Amino acid sequence: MASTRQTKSKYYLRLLSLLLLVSIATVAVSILAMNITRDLKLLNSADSDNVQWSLTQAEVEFLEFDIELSIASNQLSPDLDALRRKYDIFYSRIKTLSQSQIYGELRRDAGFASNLEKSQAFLEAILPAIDGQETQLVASLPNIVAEANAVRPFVRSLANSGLMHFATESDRRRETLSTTLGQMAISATVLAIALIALAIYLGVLAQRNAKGIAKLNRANERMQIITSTSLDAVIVSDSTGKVLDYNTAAESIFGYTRDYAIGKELGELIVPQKFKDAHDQGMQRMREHGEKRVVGKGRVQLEGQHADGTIFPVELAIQSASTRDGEIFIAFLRDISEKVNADKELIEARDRALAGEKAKASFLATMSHEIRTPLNGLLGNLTLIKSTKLNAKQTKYIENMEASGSLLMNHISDVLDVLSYESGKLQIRLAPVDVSALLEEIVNSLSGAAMQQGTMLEWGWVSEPVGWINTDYRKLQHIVVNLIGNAIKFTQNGRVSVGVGLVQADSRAGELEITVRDSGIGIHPDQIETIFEDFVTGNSAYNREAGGTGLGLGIAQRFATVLEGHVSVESTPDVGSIFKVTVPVSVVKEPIEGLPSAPIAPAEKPLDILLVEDNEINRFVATEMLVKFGHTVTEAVNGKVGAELANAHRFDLILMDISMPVMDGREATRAIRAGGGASKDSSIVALTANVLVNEQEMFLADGMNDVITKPLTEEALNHVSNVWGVQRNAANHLLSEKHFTELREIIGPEQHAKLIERLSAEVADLIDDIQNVSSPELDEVAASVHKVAGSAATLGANGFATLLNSLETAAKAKELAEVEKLSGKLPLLWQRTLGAFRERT
Amino acid sequence: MMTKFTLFCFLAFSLPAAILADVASNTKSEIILTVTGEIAAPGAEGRKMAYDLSDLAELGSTTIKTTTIWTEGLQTFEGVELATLLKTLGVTEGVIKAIALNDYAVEIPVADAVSGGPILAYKRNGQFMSVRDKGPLWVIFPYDSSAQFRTEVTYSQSIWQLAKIEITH
Repeated sequence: MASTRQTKSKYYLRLLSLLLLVSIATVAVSILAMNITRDLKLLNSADSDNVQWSLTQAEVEFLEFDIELSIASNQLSPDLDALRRKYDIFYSRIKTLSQSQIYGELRRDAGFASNLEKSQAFLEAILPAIDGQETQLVASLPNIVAEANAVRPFVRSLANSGLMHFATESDRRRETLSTTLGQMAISATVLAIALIALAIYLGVLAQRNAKGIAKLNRANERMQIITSTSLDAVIVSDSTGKVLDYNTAAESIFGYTRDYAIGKELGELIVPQKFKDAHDQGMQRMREHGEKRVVGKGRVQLEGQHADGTIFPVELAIQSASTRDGEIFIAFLRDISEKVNADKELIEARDRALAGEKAKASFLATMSHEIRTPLNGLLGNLTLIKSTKLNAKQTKYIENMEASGSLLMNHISDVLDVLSYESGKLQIRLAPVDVSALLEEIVNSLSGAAMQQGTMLEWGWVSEPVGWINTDYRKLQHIVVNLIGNAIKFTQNGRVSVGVGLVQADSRAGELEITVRDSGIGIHPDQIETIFEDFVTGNSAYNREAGGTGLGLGIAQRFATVLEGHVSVESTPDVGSIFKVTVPVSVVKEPIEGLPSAPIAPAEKPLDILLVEDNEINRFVATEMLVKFGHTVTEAVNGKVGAELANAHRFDLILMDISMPVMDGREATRAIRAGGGASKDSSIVALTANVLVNEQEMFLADGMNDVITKPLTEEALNHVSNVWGVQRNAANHLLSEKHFTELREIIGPEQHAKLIERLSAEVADLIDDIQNVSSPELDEVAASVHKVAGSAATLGANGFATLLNSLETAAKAKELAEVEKLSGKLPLLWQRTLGAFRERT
Repeated sequence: MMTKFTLFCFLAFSLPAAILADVASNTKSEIILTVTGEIAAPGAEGRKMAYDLSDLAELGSTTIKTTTIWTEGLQTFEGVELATLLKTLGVTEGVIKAIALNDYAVEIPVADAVSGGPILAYKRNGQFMSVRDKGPLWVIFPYDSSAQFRTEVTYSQSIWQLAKIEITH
């Protein structure tokens, strides 16, 4: 760019100097031409007259006078008039020579001037005689003759000196003219050369120009070809939106011809009616403030309008460029109807697949559950049969049936575990666990099976023994049982040794490694990759021998994963396998004695609890535990009895089994909530073996406050009694009646219903957002919780608002565990709050 | 610019010229111009025409203000146009030969004798002209009015002390 400018200025400089040269030469030639004209004028006409003739004429006229004088001197009566006439003529001539400007130059010649003076003196001298009386003139004649003789040589010299002067003058003029003509010739030559140089230079420039234009044309042509062959529509507009260019692809995409489109307003042409206002505003913003929202921002997806009115999706990119005529915009547009359709189909296909997957999961869960219930019945009845009188054969059959039933029960549990992991609902419960006790218990329980295989089972520490660690007891137990069980299954008359070690990162945290080593048949290298996949079992040849669903290792791996650890394997066929589970743990102090697995503080205050449970043993155990914490327990054997007791007496907390004869837990709950009895606002917590989330949600919808899964543990019982017992007051004041009713009266039922709807939406969003929340997001959570709390308080949902306030406090304090705990209560409490709303509208 | 010398000349010659003018006015009936040749005016064919000053003055009076190469400063000439003279004589074509007292002769084409062209001047600066002062008749062109009157031919045709005119075809 810079070099082009330099080259250009060089051209101009050269051109300018040539033009200057031509101008100078032209001026010189003009001046010289003027000089020549002047000189020629002087030569040709001018003021010359026939001067030489006049000069000689002076002598001639003097001689004529002289002759007339001689004639008069020799006659008695001379012709004096003739003499006087000749005098006058000579007089006139001399007067002319002395006055005329023609002879001005000549008169400066000293010789001429002297001669002229003498001639004049002569004329003056004889004048009185000439003009006098005739007699006087005649008498003076001899004197005049003498005077004439005396002056004659001077009159002659007068003529001659004049002639000399004019000859010299003539020569000088010729010389001047000749010099001028010479200068003229030189100047003309210079001019001619300069003009030729200029012509050549202009020729070169013209050629260069022509080359440049040709190059530009070729570039333009190429540009034209590129845009016209582009598959994308290319539309160029000025800053007012007027179309400047419009390529072939644009013709086919938008249906307007190029001739029609050029000069039209872009918005009128391709922007659908519904976007026209936005388009116009955008253009205006750009013109007024230079604000560009789309320009230069890459590809955006919009809608375009075809000439026939069809609206279709387009992908658009706009770039701007500054030109001499102002800013222009180049839009590249692509019809993406097909892509959008394809995307839509893909999304639909995915949704269908997901829905199918979900349906399948739901089906599996239902089936598993539905199988488990009759299986429980079978097993229960087998237990009953065993207490009747049986012969040895029958006893053997029943034992076989029990074994089969237990196995079937385990398989179903496995399937449910997989399902809950896949749905992301596999929760972990961290609690202090005595590792040695855990291993001891497992090894003891499996030693029977090992013995049957003729295999020796042993365990021991490979590091310094560790006391208590914080982990999920059930899951770790499941993993280890599975690994040892597998090892025993595939090892006959061999040895299974379990090594436990803690690889400590620091004094408080480390990784627990449990290694299960067997001398069994091993795993073929081809299979080692897939053994953790679902429904993969060992070599088919051993299938019958070993049995299994193929879910065991998959579940072990999943559990290890939720504990943030993993299971690995090494194996040599016919030598044995080594399975190793590694999970991060923290080392904790031994819990206070008497509450071995309950880290939560014991009951803060004694509660009045109603326990509704049909199973006598379960009822017995639960009552024992609750009484131990200092609570008062009233027992009911089924839902009907429970509901009647609840209506009659106000309990702080009701623990409700789900599956019961006469009236199940759900129905009983609904009856308590709807019945208007003494305990209608009391907390109700479900006791269930059901782990399916869907079902748990249904319980909450029935009006229950929480769910705990069987088997009952002290920990779980203590937890619910603390949370729901303490929150009894809040539960009592689930709704501020006064507040709720007043607001409803003030704004009217319609607006009130809308407010409730809006709060429902907010709560639903909050519950979604708060799931799987991570530490960095806690501030955000606190903010959104605060907002919803405000809305809830406005509607008089005091209970819910109180919970949200606690949640907000926890979030602000970055107590992630507390946030998770409290947020888990949101759905149920909201269900109840909504129920309370409905009751009062 | 008048030099000392020309000033002297002017003073030297002007006084006698004034005296002569008075002489000329006293001899007004004196013939100063004769015209001969192809005269076509009815009743005058082939005759010799003679004019004194009053005859010429009666033919007309045209004034030309101009400088000349023979005089100093702006001059006022008064005279009869050659065209007028020739018209009275019925001359429309040919050449006139003008002859001076000193026998100087020059030819002037009749075609050049146009209105606004040469006059036969009998007064210079309000005075009749003596022979010493290039009188009594002087052919004067309006030199200042056009370059076409400032040629050597025109100067040669500016005959003074004019006495005779011969008209030829």
